[in-house]
Amino acid sequence: MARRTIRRGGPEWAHARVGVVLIVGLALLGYGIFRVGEMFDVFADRYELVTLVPSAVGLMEGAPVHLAGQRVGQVDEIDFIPMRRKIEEHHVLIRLSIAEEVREQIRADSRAHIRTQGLLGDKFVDIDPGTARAAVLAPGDTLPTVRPFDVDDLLGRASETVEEVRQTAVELHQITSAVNRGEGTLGQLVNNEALYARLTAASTELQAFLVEVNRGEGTLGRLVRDPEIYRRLQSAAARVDSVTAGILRGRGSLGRLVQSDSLYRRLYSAAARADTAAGGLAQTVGQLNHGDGTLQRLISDPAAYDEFLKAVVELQNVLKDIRADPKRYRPDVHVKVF
Amino acid sequence: MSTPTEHLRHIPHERRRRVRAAPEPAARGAAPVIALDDVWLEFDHPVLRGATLHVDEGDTLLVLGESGTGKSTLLKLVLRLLLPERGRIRVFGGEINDLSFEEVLAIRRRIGKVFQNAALFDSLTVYENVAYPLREAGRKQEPEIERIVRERLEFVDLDPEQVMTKLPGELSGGMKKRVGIARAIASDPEVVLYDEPTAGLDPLAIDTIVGLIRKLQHELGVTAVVVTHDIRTGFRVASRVNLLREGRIEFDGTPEDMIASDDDYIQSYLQAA
Amino acid sequence: MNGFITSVDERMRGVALGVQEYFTLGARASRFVAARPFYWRDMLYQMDRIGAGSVPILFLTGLFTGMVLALQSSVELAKFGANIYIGNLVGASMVKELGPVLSALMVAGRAGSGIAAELGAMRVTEQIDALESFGTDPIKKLVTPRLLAGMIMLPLLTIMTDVVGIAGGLFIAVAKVEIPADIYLRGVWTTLALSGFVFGIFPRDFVGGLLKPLVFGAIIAGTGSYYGMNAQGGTEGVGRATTRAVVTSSILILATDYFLTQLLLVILPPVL
Repeated sequence: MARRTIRRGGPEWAHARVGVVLIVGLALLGYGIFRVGEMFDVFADRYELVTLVPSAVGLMEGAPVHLAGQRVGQVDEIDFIPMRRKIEEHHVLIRLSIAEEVREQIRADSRAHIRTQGLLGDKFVDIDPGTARAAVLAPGDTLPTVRPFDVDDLLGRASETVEEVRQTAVELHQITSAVNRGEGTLGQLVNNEALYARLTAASTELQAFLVEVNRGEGTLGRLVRDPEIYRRLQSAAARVDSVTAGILRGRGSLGRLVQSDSLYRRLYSAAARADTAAGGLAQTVGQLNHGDGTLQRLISDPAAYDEFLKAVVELQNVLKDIRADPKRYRPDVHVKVF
Repeated sequence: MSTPTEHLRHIPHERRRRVRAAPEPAARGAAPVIALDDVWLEFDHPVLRGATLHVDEGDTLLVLGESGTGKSTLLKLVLRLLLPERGRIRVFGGEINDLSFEEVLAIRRRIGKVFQNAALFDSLTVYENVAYPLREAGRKQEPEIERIVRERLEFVDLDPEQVMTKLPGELSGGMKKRVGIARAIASDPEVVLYDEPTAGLDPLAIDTIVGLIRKLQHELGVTAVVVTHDIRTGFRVASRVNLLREGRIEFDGTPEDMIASDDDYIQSYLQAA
Repeated sequence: MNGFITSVDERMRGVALGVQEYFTLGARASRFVAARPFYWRDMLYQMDRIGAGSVPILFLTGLFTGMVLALQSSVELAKFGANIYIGNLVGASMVKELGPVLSALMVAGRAGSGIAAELGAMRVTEQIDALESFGTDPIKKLVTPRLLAGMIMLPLLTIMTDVVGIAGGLFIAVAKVEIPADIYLRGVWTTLALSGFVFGIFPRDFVGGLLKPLVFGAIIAGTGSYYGMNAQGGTEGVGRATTRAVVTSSILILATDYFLTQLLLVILPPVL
């Protein structure tokens, strides 16, 4: 029996049991750390990239870093940039710890975004992979950022867009229902079969006409087919050209008319005079309309008109008499006409 | 295996060595080994109220008294397991109240104590119990410790081969007490304090214990303080008797003086016991 | 009435004094961690008693806790068709809360009471006085090794309880809820990984899961030692000390658990 020594019973067995508990406990802890770490590849070789942003928008240290949607690292540190070293409007410096194995993918034209998981979820950094043209980023390099999404902003813009889309949809709906009811040209076009028939007939005729034209029949046909007409037209056009050129050079009446301003000036003064005459006429007419002169009375007084008419009739009669029997008035009256 | 004579020769040798190291060898013989002067102590109620006593070298002082009069407390004060509220305690000629922890340890190593129920360490074997004070003092190698343990066990009439590997729970009350004495004398103390050395023992075992106390007294010249209710046993070993009453020493004298005393309280106490 | 006030006053003073002594004991025991001589053998012995001895009951505790967690969460998660998340629930609950607290309560009942009873018995049979008379500091010899043993062993025991609990949950998930083991385990690891890492590789939940039992181990050993060292009045006093040690340390464990969780949330805020 172990206890039958001069020393206290069983310390050796106690050592062994304590050793077993220690080893098993630490082994399980190590296994747990390994398995949990494996989830996020924390044991992979890492390198650091830096990114500058105007605001961390709630990003926290330890937040995941994704590359094209795959988790490749985490946010190591978020710091304010010292005042004198600020670049543009960036205030915050974010250090990213990224798995060495994806280094190849992150290039000078890669961009980092701070994104949100879901609409209200936690923030994480998402990196767009670069293209082969750009250089691979080395540890410590700065990764450019795209301005982070602001949810409020996004929601504001989204609601505007939605309103516009709704309006459009309403209008579109109105149009399509009108079309369906056969209203308007488009409606007729869509719904009227007679129109279709006529359009078909018209197009048939058009086709026949075009066939004739092609054959060179009729004026249009000749126009299309006969080169003589073209030549004549061309010489006519040439002549028109020379005439126009003459006109422009100021030759002949038409040329003068176009080029000389004396005619214009004379025409202008004539017109001015005509204008003044018209003005005087208008004045006279005005006086006539309003004044109490003879002529006016003649125009506006019916009694005067009647008298005047009567007088004219009598004068006619007198003249008739004189023509019929000039001697009747001869002894006494010496009449001389003209 | 060592013989009894070997260990007897061994112990005085150890003693001499320590005496040479002691600071005031000239004072030995004259000054008391232990002296309490007007000591007051109170727990829930007053225990000691101006107790004054002394123990001279080679004395075996018997302290008697009713239960709760502070007999055991006296022993604890001597070991400085307790500090008095008032009064001076001198051990080996020096005041112990203001000593540092290390100095107290040095004093304690020169005093052995036999506890009421032996107070053996339950989780340690007999061997380890007896070796404990030696190991705690350091300085000694394991083979020497084993040799001393065997000697001490033989001194208290126990067969080392039989008891060394046992645990205290496997021993009888008398054997425990004897192991307790072996442990108390393991590091050659100059003074041994006995707290109720015979309590709970059968008459034969009491005889053995009395024999051992006497043996220590006569063969090794150990100074002793015995605290007990058991007057008969006490008188068999005591050279002087002190009676505690209400926190003070009521009587100081030889056992014969005490029996001859005409004090009412002493007589009633003796008769009751 | 006056007597009542006096007794209340005395009780309060007694409690305050007790708290002071408790912390004094803790401070003295801690100070001896670095002091010589260091009682290696005693510490090892206590590590065996507190640690190795508690493995069987903690195995059962962990197993059934994990199983019942999986069963209960399967009932609740089924309402949302989210049964595949059983692993996440069992993993997080075991590592963060139930593992540490249940292990501590079981060890308090088993080893804390043992410490109080042992030291109480040593006190009433004057073994502690005997130690002192041989020049041994009883706190250094008795309390420090127990305190250290508790602080070392309880985290290790908690790891085992956690693992057994997760395994128990796995058993129920596969056998009863019919979730593939892969999905269950993936949930366990993922939920622990999601809280983030300390120093890049050490899962944050493990920090809490190990810091708590470290403190609980100290509470169990400290409380047991305190009541044991201060036991009075013979065998009956030992019994009282034992009961008080278990009750007090259980309550201290539950209360400390809350405050430690709060503290960890402040010091190491979870990432996701």
